[in-house]
Amino acid sequence: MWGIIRRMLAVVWLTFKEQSNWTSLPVYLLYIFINPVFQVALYGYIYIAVAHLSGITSPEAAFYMVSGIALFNYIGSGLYGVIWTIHSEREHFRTLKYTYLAFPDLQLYLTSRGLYHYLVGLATSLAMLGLGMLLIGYPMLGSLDTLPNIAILLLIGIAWSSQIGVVVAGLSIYSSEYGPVISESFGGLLFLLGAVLYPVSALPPWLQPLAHIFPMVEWMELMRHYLNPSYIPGDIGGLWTLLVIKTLATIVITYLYFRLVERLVRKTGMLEASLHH
Amino acid sequence: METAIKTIDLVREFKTSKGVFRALDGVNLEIPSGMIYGLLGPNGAGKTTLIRILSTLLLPTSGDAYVGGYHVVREASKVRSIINLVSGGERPGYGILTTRENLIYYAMLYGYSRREAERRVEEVSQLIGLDEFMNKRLNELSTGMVQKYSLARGLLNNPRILFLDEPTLGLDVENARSIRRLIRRLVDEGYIETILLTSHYMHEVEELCDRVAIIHRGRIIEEGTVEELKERVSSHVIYELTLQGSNGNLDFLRELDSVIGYKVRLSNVPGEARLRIIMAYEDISRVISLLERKMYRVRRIVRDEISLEDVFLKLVGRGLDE
Repeated sequence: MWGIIRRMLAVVWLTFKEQSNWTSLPVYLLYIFINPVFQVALYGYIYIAVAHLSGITSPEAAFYMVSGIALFNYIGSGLYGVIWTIHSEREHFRTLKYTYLAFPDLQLYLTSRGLYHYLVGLATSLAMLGLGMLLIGYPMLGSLDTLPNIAILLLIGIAWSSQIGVVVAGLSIYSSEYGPVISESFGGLLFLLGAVLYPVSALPPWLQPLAHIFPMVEWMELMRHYLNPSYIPGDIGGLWTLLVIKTLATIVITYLYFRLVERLVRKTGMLEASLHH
Repeated sequence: METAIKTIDLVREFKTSKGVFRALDGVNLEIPSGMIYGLLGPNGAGKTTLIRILSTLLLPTSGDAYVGGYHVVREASKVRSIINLVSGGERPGYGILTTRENLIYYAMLYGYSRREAERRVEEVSQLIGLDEFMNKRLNELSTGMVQKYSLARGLLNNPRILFLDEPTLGLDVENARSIRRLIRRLVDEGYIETILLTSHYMHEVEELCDRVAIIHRGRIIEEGTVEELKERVSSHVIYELTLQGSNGNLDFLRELDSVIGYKVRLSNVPGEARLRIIMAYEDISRVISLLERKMYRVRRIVRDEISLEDVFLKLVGRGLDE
């Protein structure tokens, strides 16, 4: 077990080096924070502008939107980190086949490649939440009592979203040309369906069942609840049950799916396939 | 002697737009441990496909293959624990990390702790002669140094069996020689038990390999030590001729019963070409008159010693790089 954890930590270290050592640490920190911070500022000002023009304020709606953006940043960072591994290691670094031979399990490797991105996502999401709430003037946030629940939810968030990332990475193995498009499109789909800016009930009725396939809706709503206990999205116990069931199902299905992918990849030789740049 | 690698009727087919292409067509090999085994063949002969199957990157269409006694399909993870792979002509690695960082990372992927990884990387870098390049970023290294780095990476997990796929591809003469010396040392000094090396350079295989298999269109067409293979053409006559004149193809030489195969290389002198010809019996006077009838001028004739290249010429009827 310790051997596996040590390997995973090595992968986290690699990802940190890969992401950061093109510049100095202060510039890197600026780089990782600047985009999310401006993103939340943009949404915050959109709310302010709309409130100003319409004369209608809705702090709850603003909280929903800003917390959604910040939480999606956490999930999205890790998810992209997992998905992009195939593209960057096969096309750019040309290391995928050697990593495949060295690391005991490709699925676990992809998950490990996302871990550093979740850490960065967590830091930047906290900054987004702080700035966003300040901007919209929302009285924040939950008490220290909710921190254990938030911590558990953050881990559960890694569990389901990294495995969804593995599913998409599995798809992108088959297409060196369309891999980046697949990952971008999938991120957009989650943003659209995952209760980020609006509740699922705001979606057209035919889209709502699709939104409920992923554990994201329950995860988002529970996170909002523990960030701000006055926000009650429904039956909290029921949401927890659904989240745990969907997360376990995602893990099991991904495991089975990826065994199949790995076999097909070895059958087609796609570990070494690359786009002719 | 223990068997390091064994293949039984190994077949690999690829679907292409033109239909099914059979890259390996019933390959049977038994490679004893404790040697450098060469797989010699032209581009597209199936060498890399075989290495990919043996290193568990690719599944065979049918047949069986064993590496270190483990089945490459059913026991892939056990195979991976005793092998490593180094391919020539590519630059794999994280260019923004130093050579040391890249190697430490890979050592840790193989399960070493940070301290063990540093020690192992130190050992390997001294063996390979990478010391002065350890703190340079990988993207600052020359092609030759990148190949040495790849070789170092291939040794990190102390593999019993090392696959070297065209290890000197794209290297200049000096770097290629240095890599070849290293490869020989690895087996002679007991760092690696068995090396399976693919190449389309005759002299490389001749210099390095204890045994050789010649692969052509997915089939093993000859196998043995270099001396055994040469022995099989020892009754043949080999000439090297320097020609001037018409630049058309020399297929007309095949009209002569005595001619088994030939290979043409352009000379450094403009308008000149070198013809290496293998004949079943002494018949050079007819060859020369035929060439002269076809408007070639024969500038020089040398009766040559048998080389591995002649074995290939005999078996395939043309040169390895044609």
